Amino acid sequence: MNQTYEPNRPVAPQHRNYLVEAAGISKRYGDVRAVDGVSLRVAAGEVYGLVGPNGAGKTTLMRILTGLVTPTSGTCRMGPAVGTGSKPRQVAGEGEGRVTAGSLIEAPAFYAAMSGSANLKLLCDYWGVKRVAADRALDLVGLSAKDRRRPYRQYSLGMKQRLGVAAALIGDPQVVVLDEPTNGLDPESIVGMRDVVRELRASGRAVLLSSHLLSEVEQVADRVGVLSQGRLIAEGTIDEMRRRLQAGRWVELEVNDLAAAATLLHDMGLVTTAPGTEGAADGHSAAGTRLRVQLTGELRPHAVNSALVKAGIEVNCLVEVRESLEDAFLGLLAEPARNGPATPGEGTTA
Amino acid sequence: MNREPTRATTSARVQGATAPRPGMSAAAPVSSGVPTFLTGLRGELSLMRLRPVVWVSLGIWAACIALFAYLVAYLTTVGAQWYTPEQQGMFVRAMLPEGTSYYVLASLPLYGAPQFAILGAILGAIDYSSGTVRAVVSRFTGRAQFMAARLTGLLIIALAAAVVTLLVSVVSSVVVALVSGNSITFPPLSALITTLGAAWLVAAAFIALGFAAGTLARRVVLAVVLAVVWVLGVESLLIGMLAPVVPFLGVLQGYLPVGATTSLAASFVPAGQQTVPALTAATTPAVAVAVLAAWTALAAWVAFRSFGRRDLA
Repeated sequence: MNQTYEPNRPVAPQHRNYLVEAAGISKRYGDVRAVDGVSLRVAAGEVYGLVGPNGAGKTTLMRILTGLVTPTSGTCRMGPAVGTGSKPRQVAGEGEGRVTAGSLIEAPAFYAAMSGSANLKLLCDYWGVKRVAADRALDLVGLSAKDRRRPYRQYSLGMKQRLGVAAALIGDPQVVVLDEPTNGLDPESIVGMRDVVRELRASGRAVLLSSHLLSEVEQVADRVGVLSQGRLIAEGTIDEMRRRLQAGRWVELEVNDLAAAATLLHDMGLVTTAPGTEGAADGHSAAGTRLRVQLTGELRPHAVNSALVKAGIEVNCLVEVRESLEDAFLGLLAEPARNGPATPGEGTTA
Repeated sequence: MNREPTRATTSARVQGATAPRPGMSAAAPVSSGVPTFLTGLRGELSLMRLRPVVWVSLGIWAACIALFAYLVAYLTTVGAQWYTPEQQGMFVRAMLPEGTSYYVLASLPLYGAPQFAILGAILGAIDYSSGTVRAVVSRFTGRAQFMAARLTGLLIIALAAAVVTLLVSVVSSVVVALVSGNSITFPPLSALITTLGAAWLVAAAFIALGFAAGTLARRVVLAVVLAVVWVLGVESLLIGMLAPVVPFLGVLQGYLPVGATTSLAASFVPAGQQTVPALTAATTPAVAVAVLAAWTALAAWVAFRSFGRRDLA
């Protein structure tokens, strides 16, 4: 595998070149807190996935970062920090040392009567980029020569989305902000879009993308931030999130002596439940022979099997179960009030 | 792991591409442009050329001049029974090429002002409805640069409107001269340039006022209603009709956009000459110019403030 990026390799924060930095961003609309004290950082060559249900504040946060919306409080910066004493600025991308940021936020917006190509060339004019960059961006998102000449009003949802992403990529910006970039795309195009995002990362861009589907984000993101009711309630790498949310691995066992097995595994410091009795007081009080064991740390299923067999317990069946991060994510969202806001950095999970 | 292999490929693209993939590897140079006032102006001018509303609006304005200021005015002048031969001669003389330095300006307060205001209102609000303004602004480091570019673009549109005004006037007056059997004699070029300047100032003022309304309202229909109600309803009808009987309104009229336009247009009409419609100056030409410039500046300030302070959600 030609893997040049190791998403789980720890990188010391002080050595990372953060191109996006937000500190204590809040946005209120009357009594409604759309974004509530969010702090996050995205480094060059990193894909940061922002996940949360509809209305969690993802789009508002992205609008703030791109300067479309002014935060009620907090600061944000796009671009490398200038000197040691540089302070984050209120408006994204302002001042010296700035970087260009391409963005697709919410629905793509273009002139309906103009072709896709003409729309992008117009943006090139506005942004001081050579018009050839429009064709380059269109190549990247795979909009055919025929389609790019059609009026935008004739575009399908997927084509509109591709054009929106192409607009975000015009001129190879150093920061790319994509709000639900796979909306309306067919499965093949979704895979292609992931490749585009990975390539952006490989070429050193900082990518901030959002989705309400954690399963979508975890395909490409190095780090994930979970937004709920405007608050960043968890943040970390995918594996950190999996670990901290206890969304890790389980084995389901079928044994001849449930009580003996449960006692042994409990003595090993493992959490056990009987499937279908998670809410029961002792977790495995139901009659039967099946038991679910959560694997922790480096513990492998065969180690559990060996321990049980050595103790004389017959193991008839052992199946490893990987709980999806999506399930853990939904569990986390179910109790947002219990979780305090996460602070920026590596592996923060409330 | 439920995770696709991480591939730092240099050939990634969304499925369906037919064109060759350009390099976008880590080694590729970052060719990001820097949006500035000048790039914004370039974009505005590119967009103006592609906007149907600009061409349609200028076309309607040209048609209105040719139709009402010349064709209808000429037919009613020569065909009406209630004009004396002297009056008929005077009115036709105004429509000849020698009258191009003042005659067409009489059209500005009546139907030029509302048209320009409507054009400005549409241009000010339409990009909010489509959301395109967000896409463009997102890469500008400051909104002031973008707004300055937009307002400069409006001044260029106003200049195009002034040129259209004068060109249609010249062509129509030649037709009137040919039909009426009069000679074709144009005023001095300096007079025509002054007329062009006056038309530009009036067009700029009303386009800017409409644009400010559009920036505030952010909805095309609301902005157009605001512009039309003010120019036609409040200024032309309410204040215009009440001014002769309410002295305060008579004074106020000269400091409002339509009143200043009327005063400016009236100042171009030679002594002893009359136009259709008749123009009554409420202020001196210098004051009229200052008033129109002040309204333009006020509209620009409102647009700057509104655009700079409000969220683009």
